[in-house]
Amino acid sequence: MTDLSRLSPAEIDALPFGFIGLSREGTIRKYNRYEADLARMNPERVLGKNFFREVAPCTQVKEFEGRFRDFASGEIADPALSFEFVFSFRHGAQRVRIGLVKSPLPDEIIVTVNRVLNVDLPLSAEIRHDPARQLLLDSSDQRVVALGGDFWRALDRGLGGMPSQARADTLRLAGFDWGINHALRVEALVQKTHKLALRETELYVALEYLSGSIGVLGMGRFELDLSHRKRGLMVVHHFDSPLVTASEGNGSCCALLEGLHAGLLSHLAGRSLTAREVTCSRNPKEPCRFIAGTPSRLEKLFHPTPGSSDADLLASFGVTPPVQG
Amino acid sequence: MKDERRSSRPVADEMEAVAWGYDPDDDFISPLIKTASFFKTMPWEGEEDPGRPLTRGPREEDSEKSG
Repeated sequence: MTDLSRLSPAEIDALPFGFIGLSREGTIRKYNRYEADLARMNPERVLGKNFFREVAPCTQVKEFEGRFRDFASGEIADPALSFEFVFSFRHGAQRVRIGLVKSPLPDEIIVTVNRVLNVDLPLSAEIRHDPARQLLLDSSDQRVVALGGDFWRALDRGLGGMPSQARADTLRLAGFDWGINHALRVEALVQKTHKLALRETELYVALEYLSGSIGVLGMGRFELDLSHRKRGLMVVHHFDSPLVTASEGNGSCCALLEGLHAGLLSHLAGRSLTAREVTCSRNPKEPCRFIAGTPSRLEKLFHPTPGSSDADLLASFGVTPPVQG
Repeated sequence: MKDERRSSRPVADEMEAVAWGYDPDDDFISPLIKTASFFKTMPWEGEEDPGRPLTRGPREEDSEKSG
């Protein structure tokens, strides 16, 4: 766990959540970039001001300032405190989870701000069973079929006679088609609920919608690592994929997930993308990882010049590229 | 330097149109960035990595077309 009190200013700015350092009186000492973007404030302008009086007056309530004062004075003895709050920004309300942590610096409290994304969709409601017709339906009345491990093992064995490349291509194509159509269905629900296309929503919200929607199907969840975006690449971390164990633990069905992620991301990106698995989880606590990008970019990535940054990236995932002759 | 870039950004109220877009020269991704803005300016063929051999070839046509 990161020790927030020991981070440099640059590290504080790079945090993927809001970070505010306040004196016991509420004077702003630190204000990171995430928080500045979320609140649409210029950090240089808020430093030295009183957070409760001059910057975020909507927090002058017992639910926020009252808790802060009790925490700062020691009336609340816990080393950390967490609660939900709704910021009333001029550009709209934002539900957040606030964390209060005592800083080792004298008279300083660290306030962390994590967005609580509102991604409730009809799709994410519980799947219901119609006992009369023996059907499973989601709340948009789309039929859902529960396929247990027996099915996936049967599929794995059924494809077992195919050459490995043809088998992977078949699963990838099926997954891609599934991903595109699944994204379109999520899109329709988002449009119905929020009057927005997925590409018009915030990136993190769109990803949350898609991850949550495959989660409803029991496919696990995924997160997108964007730290390689300048190289035209994204890394999908897929947690709790049922395909790893269903295909007798050898990950031979994971090309289906390659296609699924390529389809989902292609829909968001508005261009055809592809994905390749670089690590298959054998440990339930570790995610499967897929690298996604354009077909030409991935072709170059997997045939790197020795010593290049692409070769380094592949090596970091434990992938040995084919020897170029 | 990240801080220098940040200080050169326009003040919040005047930067609605630009600040919440994607700046490919910047390491930071705004929590409010729109999906289309992010993907529109993503360098799909990858940027050069100074001092290292490159693997990129001719740039693919930079269009927004899907499929």
